[in-house]
Amino acid sequence: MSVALAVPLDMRKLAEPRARREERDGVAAAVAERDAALIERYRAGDRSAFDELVRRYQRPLYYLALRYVRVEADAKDLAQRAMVKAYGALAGFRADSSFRTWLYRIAINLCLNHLRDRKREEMRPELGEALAAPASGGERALIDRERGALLRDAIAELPPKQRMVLELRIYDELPFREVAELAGCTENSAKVNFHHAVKRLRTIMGGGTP
Amino acid sequence: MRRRGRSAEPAELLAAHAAGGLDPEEAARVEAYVAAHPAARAELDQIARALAEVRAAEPRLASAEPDWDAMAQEIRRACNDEPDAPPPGWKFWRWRATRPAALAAVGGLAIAVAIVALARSHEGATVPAGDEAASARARADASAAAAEVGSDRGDRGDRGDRGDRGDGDDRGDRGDRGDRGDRGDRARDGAPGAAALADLSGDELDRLERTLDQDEPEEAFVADLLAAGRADPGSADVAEIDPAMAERAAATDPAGAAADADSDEPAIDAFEPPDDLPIDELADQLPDDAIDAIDRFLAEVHAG
Repeated sequence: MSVALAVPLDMRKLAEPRARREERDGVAAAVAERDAALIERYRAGDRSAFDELVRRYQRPLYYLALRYVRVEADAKDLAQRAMVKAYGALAGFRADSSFRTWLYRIAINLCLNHLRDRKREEMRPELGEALAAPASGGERALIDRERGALLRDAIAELPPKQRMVLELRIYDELPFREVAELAGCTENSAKVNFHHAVKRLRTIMGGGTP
Repeated sequence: MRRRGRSAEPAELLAAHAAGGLDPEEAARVEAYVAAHPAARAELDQIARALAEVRAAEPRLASAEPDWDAMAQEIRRACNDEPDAPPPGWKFWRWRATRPAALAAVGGLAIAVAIVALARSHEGATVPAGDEAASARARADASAAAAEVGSDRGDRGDRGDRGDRGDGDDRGDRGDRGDRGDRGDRARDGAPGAAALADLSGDELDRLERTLDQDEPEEAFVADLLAAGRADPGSADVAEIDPAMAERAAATDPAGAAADADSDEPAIDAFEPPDDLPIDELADQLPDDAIDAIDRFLAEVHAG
């Protein structure tokens, strides 16, 4: 099914200005610094520092897992397991990457293992139950919901690396440097994968040429 | 940190540009490309619309969000139930105990190389016995040369991730610290270890240094030491290494200190430096005897 893009957009609002990118990079650095301080406290014996890390990351981990497994209960379980696993391995955390990157890597691995253990056919019946577009009335909203569902399916069908790069950048708003670390590729490769992911989605959704 | 690799074509960076993820230089390159190619401008517009749709299609929950407080409590309980959860920092301390030896080895290498270089440049010359001034000058020369070697080595290679290790001056300082001990004297006395180290090629020195960047460097590191003929068999006991440290350990953990005293095993874990001591200053805090003893201990562990 091909649906023409009908969303009126203002390019000046869509294209992220440089200031926004710099702000994002600055935020990433501040996050890494903040996490490092908490880890130091934890290593010094302050258990509450890890609780603080849990409070900060359980929500993004939950949504990260939800995008992979699409089942709320599983996503919650995976997010919890990721935090517990991180707790067990924190003593060996070497800070070669940021804590956030390391933690996301743990969560992504758990999600991939989870998906490997369960066949995709078993997951699909729960898709509609777990995820839904914003509820609103009217025919326009119905079309948007259908299109959103199609788009989510299309994202799920992307090659794994393209999907990971796209979601980490768009939904988790990670800088490409961290995206690249998580995807196990160079920063350039992450950017190129991102481009091809968007291009493929445009093709699937009827907004671009192959 | 990963290298950035080859520069991508501007056409392949359009989406990253629309998502605001390019460096200023890359963004300028893409902007120039778009300015020169009207089709690229149209594609950039379409990409921007597609990204907006992807954002709008972000998965949302059909039901309410989880109770985050309850979830945090569950995680806390699960963490407390972890049977294998190590006490905070145990591995860190182990690393702290071994890394000084590795750092000291680098300092020793720099000293040995500097001394041999000096010896060759002053071949035939002798320092009169008891001539304190000449001896001090020789040590100062060795120290300066070692600092230079350290600086050169620190400047080489990609050390972007570890600024502390890439600091040439820091290396130089360590070389200076090594000079205060008996390493230089040993080299002058013709100790086989120092001579063997001095014979190492630049590649071998680099290889030895690279082992320091590994997670668990002991084996590779000790293997290099053995290959260099520097490691000696021997044992280390905390009291033998540094009585002051043994006293501190006994004060903070009397039971542990007693157990260590009764044990035949080297009590390397007793080397717990103060919490606020930066890791790279640790080597400077340890006496040379302690570093030598740790070297011997590592060699013994490797051999045994």
